[in-house]
Amino acid sequence: MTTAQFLTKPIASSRSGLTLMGLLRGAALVLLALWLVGPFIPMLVWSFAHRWTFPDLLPKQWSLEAWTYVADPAAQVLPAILDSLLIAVPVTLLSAAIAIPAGRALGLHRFRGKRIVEFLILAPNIIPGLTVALGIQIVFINYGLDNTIVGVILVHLVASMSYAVLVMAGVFSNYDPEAEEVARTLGANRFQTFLHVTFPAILPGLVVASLFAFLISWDQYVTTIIIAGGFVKTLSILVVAAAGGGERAITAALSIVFVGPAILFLIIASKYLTGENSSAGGLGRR
Amino acid sequence: MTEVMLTDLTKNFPSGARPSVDRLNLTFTSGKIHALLGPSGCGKTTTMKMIAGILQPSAGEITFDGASVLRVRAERRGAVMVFQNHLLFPYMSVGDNVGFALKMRNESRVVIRARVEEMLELVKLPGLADRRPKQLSGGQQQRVALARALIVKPNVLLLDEPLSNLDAHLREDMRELILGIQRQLGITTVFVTHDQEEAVVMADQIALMFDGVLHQNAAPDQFYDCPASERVARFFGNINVLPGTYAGGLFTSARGAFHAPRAAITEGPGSLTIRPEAIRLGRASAETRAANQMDGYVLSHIYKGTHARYKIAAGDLVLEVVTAPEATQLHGDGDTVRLTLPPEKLWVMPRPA
Repeated sequence: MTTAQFLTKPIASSRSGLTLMGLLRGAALVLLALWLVGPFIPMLVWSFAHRWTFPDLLPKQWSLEAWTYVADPAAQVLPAILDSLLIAVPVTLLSAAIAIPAGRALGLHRFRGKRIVEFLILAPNIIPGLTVALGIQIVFINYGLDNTIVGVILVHLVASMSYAVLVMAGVFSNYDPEAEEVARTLGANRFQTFLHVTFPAILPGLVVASLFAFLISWDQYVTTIIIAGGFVKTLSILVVAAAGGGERAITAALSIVFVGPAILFLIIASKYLTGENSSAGGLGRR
Repeated sequence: MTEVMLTDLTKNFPSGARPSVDRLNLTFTSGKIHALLGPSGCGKTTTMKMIAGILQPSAGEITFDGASVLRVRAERRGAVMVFQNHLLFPYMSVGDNVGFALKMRNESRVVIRARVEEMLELVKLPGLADRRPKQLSGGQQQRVALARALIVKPNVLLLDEPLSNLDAHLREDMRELILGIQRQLGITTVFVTHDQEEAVVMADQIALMFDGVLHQNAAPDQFYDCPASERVARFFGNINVLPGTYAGGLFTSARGAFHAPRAAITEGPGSLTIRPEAIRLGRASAETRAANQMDGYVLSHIYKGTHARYKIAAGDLVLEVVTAPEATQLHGDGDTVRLTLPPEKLWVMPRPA
């Protein structure tokens, strides 16, 4: 059903030697790895290229100038990373904070108008981000939120939060609250119950939801430009600007920097993505 | 030692047309084991959760030793629940599970450690504190759940189908364990079950509920000897029910008249019932039938070693008869037989008109 399932299951169950299914699974794994890692190879090459023209398999001349540029304080890469983090981290925390109660309500309870609520949560992601951001910008100007980090956080939150809520709704639809009831009768108050019973059970799913929220915010470009163009310079704005300027080597080097935190986050989260825990929601193994 | 009293206890859920629990009046005597029995959806689990404080009643009163607990939150009520599944917190060790309640009270590690070992010994699982719940069998997990509940010295112990999830050979052990601990500690115990056999073997007193309404609250043998209604009798597996009318100690039915001194009504329409093992089975005879006798023929029978179970057709009725050990194989299918229904074993229940 999911990538995580696909990656973990064949290895565990293919101890019957070289069957046809085993071979197909192996081939599929190799293809998947190529598909994930493949695009990085030309980018890596590009970032060290001085000249790389059409028929050549590899650049004629190598150079470190793109990386020198990226490392140069004048290029403002470090401040851009900080700006991106200053936005993505609060967006992630707020998304998680909203997604736990909202996902619980959607996953655990039936109520009138549930479908409408689900649709409204998804709606900002169905309508093009440009349209949404333009509409929000007009409102933000009224409240003085345009051209501020807080404004950018709020507009990113619209996109991030909806994914996080959907993941947590999946987590809670597999969750049985009776364990909480037992904890309550054993003397745990509501906060203790959440901390000791609910939180450990939903943690794997929560990590997945946070990962989505972080990556979506990290990736935002159009909405950032519209709400705070020229005032808030995130790393994605820098990447797009370099690409627009036709600087291929610099674009490639910046792109590699750009995926760094995402991969780091993924590695930290991987423990939960492949873990045995049953409540990993959409990525669970039940 | 806590007496739990429910007065007109009612629970309405927004989705339900009728109340899930409807004006329930029950007293759970201090130090006894009570069963809340009924088919699934009869409101027994809802009742248990209201006693625990997990659900708020829509109306009515719950008292522990005469004092209302409606305003006492679940974590302070001292009514501890043990569920048949989702027994243990999976990400904690067995010891942390058992010590959970003490940790919530901020007891010291030393105290918790000692009490945990004490409780594990009580449920006959000493030395398993460092295991993970997954490493234990289902029966062991249930014992750990019991230890986790008992560590707080609860006022009331609430059990959800305590034997249902266990294999036949483990049931007996668990029953012995629960009864032994309950007697030792004297905790008022209430368990819910849909299984009348589980209720009969474990409880001092059984409260039978249908559709949120209490139908009979009595000692186990009463459900066989004097069931409150035909529905109660059938729930306890007794299909021997004859419709008729009752007056002056005589029950008149299409199958004849029966002397029946024991009755829940004085006169009017009623249903006559008798336990399968109380009916005496004899050969058909040319003699005229005496009082409290009827004729029929054997529809089917099963030989069970210690006894035989017959289905007897009498007119449009089918009766079940269980014979005594010495008379196991007297009759074959199709044989005509004469049934004797001893007056002292008969019971007349009210019959809705």
